[in-house]
Amino acid sequence: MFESHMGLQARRTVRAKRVGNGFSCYIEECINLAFNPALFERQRRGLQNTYAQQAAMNVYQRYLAETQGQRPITQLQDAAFGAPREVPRLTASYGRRGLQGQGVKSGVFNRALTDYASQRNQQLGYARADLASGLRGYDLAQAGYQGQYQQGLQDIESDKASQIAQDAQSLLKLR
Amino acid sequence: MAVVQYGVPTEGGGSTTTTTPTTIPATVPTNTSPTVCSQGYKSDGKGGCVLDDGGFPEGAGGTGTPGSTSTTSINVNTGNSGYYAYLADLAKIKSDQEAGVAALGRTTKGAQYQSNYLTGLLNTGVPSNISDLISGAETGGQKYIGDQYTLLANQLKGAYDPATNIGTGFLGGEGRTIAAQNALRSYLAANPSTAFRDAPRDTPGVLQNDLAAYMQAQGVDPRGGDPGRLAATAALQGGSESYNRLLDFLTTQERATDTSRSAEEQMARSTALSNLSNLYQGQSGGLQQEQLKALSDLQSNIASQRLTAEQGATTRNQSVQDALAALFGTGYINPADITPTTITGAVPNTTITTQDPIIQQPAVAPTAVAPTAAAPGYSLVKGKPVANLGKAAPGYDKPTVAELAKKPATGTAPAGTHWEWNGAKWVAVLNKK
Repeated sequence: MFESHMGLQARRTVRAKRVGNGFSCYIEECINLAFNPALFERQRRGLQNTYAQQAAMNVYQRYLAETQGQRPITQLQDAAFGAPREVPRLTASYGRRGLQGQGVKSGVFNRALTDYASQRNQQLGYARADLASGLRGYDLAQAGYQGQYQQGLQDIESDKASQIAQDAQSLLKLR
Repeated sequence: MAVVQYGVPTEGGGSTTTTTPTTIPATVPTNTSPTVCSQGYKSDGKGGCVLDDGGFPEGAGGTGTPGSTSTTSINVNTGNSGYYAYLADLAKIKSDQEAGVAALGRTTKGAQYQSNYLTGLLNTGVPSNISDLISGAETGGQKYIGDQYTLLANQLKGAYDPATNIGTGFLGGEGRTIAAQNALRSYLAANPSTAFRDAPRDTPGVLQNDLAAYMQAQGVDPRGGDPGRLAATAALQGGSESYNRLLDFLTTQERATDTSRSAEEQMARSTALSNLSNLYQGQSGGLQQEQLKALSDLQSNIASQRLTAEQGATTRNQSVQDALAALFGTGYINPADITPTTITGAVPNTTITTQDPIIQQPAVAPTAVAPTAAAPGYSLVKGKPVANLGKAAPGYDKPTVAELAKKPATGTAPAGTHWEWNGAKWVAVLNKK
């Protein structure tokens, strides 16, 4: 009984085969699992769904990031002449001290306005750079998702061809 | 008392008499064989024949002499037993001689036939029907093995229809494999990896000093805002360039992946076709080995059958030789006189039947020949010798009641003897001590 059981195990080990989708099977089962395009279509459909979900999520997150990144830019732009009226206030404060006005040239006012403009430009630039960097991350992710999708499709095609080749060998072995 | 001429017996010894005289020739002409004389005569040892009296005592019952007329007197009422015995002996001798001559002729002729037949069987080898049967089995077996090999080889090779991508055997597997690899190659060519190649490259933004007009209106040099603007612009451009370089790198990797996939397809195609070919070659080799083994087994079997047939032929030949040697030993046939006879015909369908030879024997009338006298110690009972003992010999009759009554009337045996039944009568037998 023991020897018979061991013999059966040995035969199963010898007869074990590997199919393209990675599952082990016996020859009889391999015959039943011979090339079935539906399995690969299921894989293709899964890839498409996954890619679509990833792309949608990425686009949405990009939108959120763009919205969030655009907000400080807008605030910086509005700060100069918008509700904060930082530039008019700056000019007015130096005008009340007689350092700015018609026919008045003040190095102090000139310096203050230059510093303000330089800092404002820098903050605006950094804000735009941050926004662009964030958006590039999402764009890169989008390209990566698409690349994965394309590679997945190519893998499926390779697996399909490999499965056909292995099926051909399995069928020939049966003779 | 009647007078009967010698040589003419009378039947029954009754009252009928025959008086025809018979002349007894002095000599008898010799036959072709000097040692064989006519019935009733015997060789005189000198090439002639003389009357064979069968040991009949001269002078008993008659006085005839050769060349003369013999006359004897016979009591027809009581018969003359010696004369009739003589006649019976003559007839028996004649019958025996004729039977002997006939038997000798049959034996000699039979020996001739037998030797001719046996000699014809010598060294005939294996019968053609047996050898033909073996040869037929060999040819048929070879054809069967060859046909089976061709059939299995064709099945193993199979066929393939490119139009339908359907096939069997090696060619079918090869065709499907090639079709699948071609499809993969076409797909890869039509669908290269383009994700990073087609990804939009980033264009670095240019910061403008939007306070420049105001600064100029206030009498301030607009270039005063450039340090911050330039620093931010550098950050913007640097990020954009890094991103674009990253995309270019990924595009290069993407192209390398495609190249690798193309190589993978070629290797997979080569490997699959090689595996198929190896499998096919292995199976073809196995098939050829099976064919060779089958042919070898067939040849061994045929050789064994031929050996058995040759052994049978040799044994039969030896038996024929032994039979011929035994036949020569009988002396009935001279080896130089043998004319070999070969029996031909359709052996397998021929039923050999045997028929016992019909021996033509001369009709000899049974003649009761009564011995003239019994040997000492024996008595003749119904023509058979019977020992003079108290009991009847095995197979002989016991005394019957009537015969018991014939016991000597005296009832007393002579002195020193006693009565015993010898199967025919009571006799006096000496008492045992």
